[in-house]
Amino acid sequence: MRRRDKLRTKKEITNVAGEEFLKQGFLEASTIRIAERAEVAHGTIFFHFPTKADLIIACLYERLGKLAIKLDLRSRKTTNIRYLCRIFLDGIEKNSAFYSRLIKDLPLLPIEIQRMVFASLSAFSVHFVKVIKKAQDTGKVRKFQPKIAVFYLFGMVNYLYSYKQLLGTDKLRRKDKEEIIDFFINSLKK
Amino acid sequence: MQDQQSQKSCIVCGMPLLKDEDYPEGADQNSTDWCKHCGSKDGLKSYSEAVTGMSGFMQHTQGMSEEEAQKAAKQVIDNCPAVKSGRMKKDE
Ligand SMILES: [Zn+2]
Repeated sequence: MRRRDKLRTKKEITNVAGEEFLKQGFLEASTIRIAERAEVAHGTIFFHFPTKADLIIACLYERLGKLAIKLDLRSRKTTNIRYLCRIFLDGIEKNSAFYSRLIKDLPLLPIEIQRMVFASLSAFSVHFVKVIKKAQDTGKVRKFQPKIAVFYLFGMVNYLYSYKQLLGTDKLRRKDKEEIIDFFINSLKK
Repeated sequence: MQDQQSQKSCIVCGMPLLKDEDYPEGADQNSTDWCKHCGSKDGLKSYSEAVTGMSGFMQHTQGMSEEEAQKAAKQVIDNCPAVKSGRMKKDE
């Protein structure tokens, strides 16, 4: 096979795999079905991705990388905690189905994949921590380790999105987003 | 919204390199492929410095314990383009 064909096949496999992971879950999705839908032999998948974990990583890398870069770029422009919370919530909201699947399946995936996901998301939390520190220095926010605020922000978002269907999160966030942010910000204040 | 498809990013930590301020002091997009956290204008940090730096970063931004942050940092650095291409040598 020529190099360009190989690249095209690889891309097609990751595209289809991405859809199947989203629909069926990272653990449940079948590589046989992915091969069928991508119209390649089952072995071709493993030629490009030696293990299913490699395929998951390739798919995650693409989706998460894009999300992380967007969050990073938007966050650079602000020193406002409220605005940062909005950037994060809006970023997740735009990737609602993907994030919900990720957050449900991640604890069951290999630790190497968990680390990779957290490393990507730190592209956002780095700004969040910086802004909190600054607000602490100017006396607007109480003194605490900024990472504690990260636990609460991610914890809250992950609750909303791991129970997306049960809670009806897509509807909730439209109605309650600002109140959720208000509550969070008030808890940081002196 | 602008498209960020063909964006340059740090060959160690993957941070997007958008502006001169993202590069080490005295360097810019024409001189280095790494960010200000991963080296100076004269070269990359050593492998162990890079791991320590990223470990601290993970502890602060994600709240990982020191031990777990160390493992995560090692994993990220071991798989980064700088190490894979041999530009950053693992000192073990
Ligand atoms: Zn870097």
